Amino acid sequence: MKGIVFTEFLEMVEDTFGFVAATAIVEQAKVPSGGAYTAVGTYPHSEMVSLLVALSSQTNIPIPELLHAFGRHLFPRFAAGYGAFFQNVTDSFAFLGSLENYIHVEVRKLYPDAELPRFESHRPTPDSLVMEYRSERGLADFAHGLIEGCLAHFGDDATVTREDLSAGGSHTRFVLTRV
Amino acid sequence: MTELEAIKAALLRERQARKAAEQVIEERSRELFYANEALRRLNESLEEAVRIRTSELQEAKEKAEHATRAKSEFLSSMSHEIRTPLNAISGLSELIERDSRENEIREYAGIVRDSVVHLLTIINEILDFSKIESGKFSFEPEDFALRDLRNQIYHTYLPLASKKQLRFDVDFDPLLPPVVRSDKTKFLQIWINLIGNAIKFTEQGGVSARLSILRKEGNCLWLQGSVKDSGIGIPEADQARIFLPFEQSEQVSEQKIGGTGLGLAITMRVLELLGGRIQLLSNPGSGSEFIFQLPVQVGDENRVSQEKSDDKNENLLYGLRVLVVDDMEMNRFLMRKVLQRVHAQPTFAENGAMAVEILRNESFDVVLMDLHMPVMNGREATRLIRSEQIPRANPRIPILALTADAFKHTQESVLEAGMNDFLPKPINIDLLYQKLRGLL
Repeated sequence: MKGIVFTEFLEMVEDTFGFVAATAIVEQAKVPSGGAYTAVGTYPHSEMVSLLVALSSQTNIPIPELLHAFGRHLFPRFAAGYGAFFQNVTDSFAFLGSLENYIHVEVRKLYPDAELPRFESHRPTPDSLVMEYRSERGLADFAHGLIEGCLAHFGDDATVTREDLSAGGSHTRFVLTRV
Repeated sequence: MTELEAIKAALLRERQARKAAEQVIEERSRELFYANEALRRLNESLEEAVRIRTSELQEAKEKAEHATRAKSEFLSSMSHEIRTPLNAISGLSELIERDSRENEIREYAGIVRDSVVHLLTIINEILDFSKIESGKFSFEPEDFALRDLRNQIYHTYLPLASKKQLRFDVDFDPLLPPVVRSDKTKFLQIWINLIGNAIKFTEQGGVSARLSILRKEGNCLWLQGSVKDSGIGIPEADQARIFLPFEQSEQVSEQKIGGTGLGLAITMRVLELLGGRIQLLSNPGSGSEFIFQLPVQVGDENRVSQEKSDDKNENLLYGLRVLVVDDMEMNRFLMRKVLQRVHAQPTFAENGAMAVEILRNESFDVVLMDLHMPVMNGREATRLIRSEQIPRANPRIPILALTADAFKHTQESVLEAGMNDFLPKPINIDLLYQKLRGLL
C-alpha cells in the first residue's frame, strides 16, 4: 500500500484524536515500520489493518466507520497533491466515471507496483452513475468515503446508495443519483 | 503517557520517516543516474552507427559514380570500336553499289549498306540515351533553312516509303520563316525518329509529316509538327508506356518488329531539351499521329552555312594530293578506292610520326588524319605540323580529322587541336568529297 495512505492516516489521527492517541495506537499496533511512514515508500497492507484495529479499540468507533471517515478525509488531500488529474474535470460524475480508464492508468505509469481496486462504471441516466467496486482488500467503506469526499470536493449534491454484493466488502455496487 | 512524551514519540517517527524518505530519494537518484548513463551510451552508439552508415553510403555513392563514368567511357570506346569496322563495310559497299556493273551485286551492296545504316541508328540511339542519362546532352543552336531540312527529311525516307509502296509526303507550311534558329541536329532527330517509326509500323496507306506555325510570342515562334500514319496503331494501355526507355507496345514485342525501344524516349527527352512537348493520338487499327510543339527563334538567312550539296563536280578533286593517316589497313584500302575514284592521288601513313616524316619530304594539298593511332596520335601530329618545327612542311596545310567518336566534345577537341574540320566515321563518301572541296 502506498505510503501516502499511511502518512495521511496518521495525520488524521493526530489532528482528530491528538498525539497521545496517535502514539498509543502505533505502540499498540506493533507495526514493523514503527509508524515512521513516508509518502515515497510502500508498506504492507497488514500494517493498515493493525493500525485500524488499534484505533478502533482506543476510540470505540467501529472499523467501517473509521474507514468511511478516512475516505472522506483523504479525497481533498489527493485533490491537493495530484492536481494534474483534476484539470479539465468539472464535476464528480465525470471524475468518478474516468477512474478506471484514466486515473488508474496514470497512477500505474507513476507507480508500476501499485495494487489498485477495480471500478466498473456506467451512466444509466444523465443524473445517475453506477460504480461497481471490486478489491481483495475489502475496503468498500473506504471507497464509500472517498466517493462522498469527491462529491463534496466538486460541490455536487447527490445521494449514494450502497449494495454489498459479497460479504467482507470486496464487491460492492454504489449508485449515485443527483438530487 | 504525557502529551510531551507523545509529541517526542511523534517527532521520533517523523525523523525516522525523513531518513527513510532520504534513503528512497537517494536510491531513486542513483537509478536516474544509471538510466542517464545508459541513455548516453545508447546515444553514443547511435551516433557511431550513423557515422558508419554515412561513410558506407558515401562509399557506395562513389562506387556508383565511378561505375557510371566507367559505363560512359565503355560506351564511348565501344562506339569507336564498332564504328571503325563499320566504316570499311559501309564505305566499300557504297563503292560497290556505285561502281559495280552487275545489278545483282549492286543490289546486295545496297542491302549491306542499309544494314550498316540500321546498325548505326541503333548504336546512335544507345549512345544518345547514355548521353541523356549522364546529362551530357546539350542544346546547340544554329541558323538553318527549313526548306533544306524538309528536303533532307523527304529524301532520307522517300526510298524506304517507296520500297513499302507507301504514300509519303512532307508538307512544311509556306508561311513558315525561311530560316529558324534551334538545334538543327536534334530538330532533325525528332523527325527522323517519328517518321522512321511511322514507316516501320505501316504496311498500307501512307505517312505524312507536317510543320506549321502554332503561335508567335515576341521573337519566339512556336511550331507544331505532326507525323501521321495509317499503321497498326497503339492500344490505349500502351500509349503512356511507349515513351519510357526500353519499352515497346505489346504488339510490337509480339510481332518482333525490333528496335531498341529507345527511339520515343529519346524523342521525348530531345523535345524537352528544346523546350517542347509531344502528344499521341492513336487507336489500334486506325493509325497513329504524333503531334509535337516546340519553340524556335526566327533565324538569320545570312548565317546559314552554304553547303552546295548539289555541287557534284568531282573533277575539282582531280590530281589532289592527299596524305591519308590511318593505322587500320582496311580504312587505308577504302580511302585508296574512294580517292582514286575521283582521280585524287592518295599517299598513306600508318601513324602520326610516319605522316610527319613524309611531310618533310613531300608536299600535299590536304591531310586526312585519323585520331587514335599507335606511336603518335592524330592530335599530337597536328600540333607538331602546326608548330612550324618541321622543315619544308606547310604548317597551314588543311587537315581533316576522321573520327569514329560520336561524342560532341571529341569533335570540338579536334578543332582545338588545330584541325580544320572533321568527318565522322563511317564515312559518307559524298560528304568526304564535299568537305575536301570545302578545304581547297
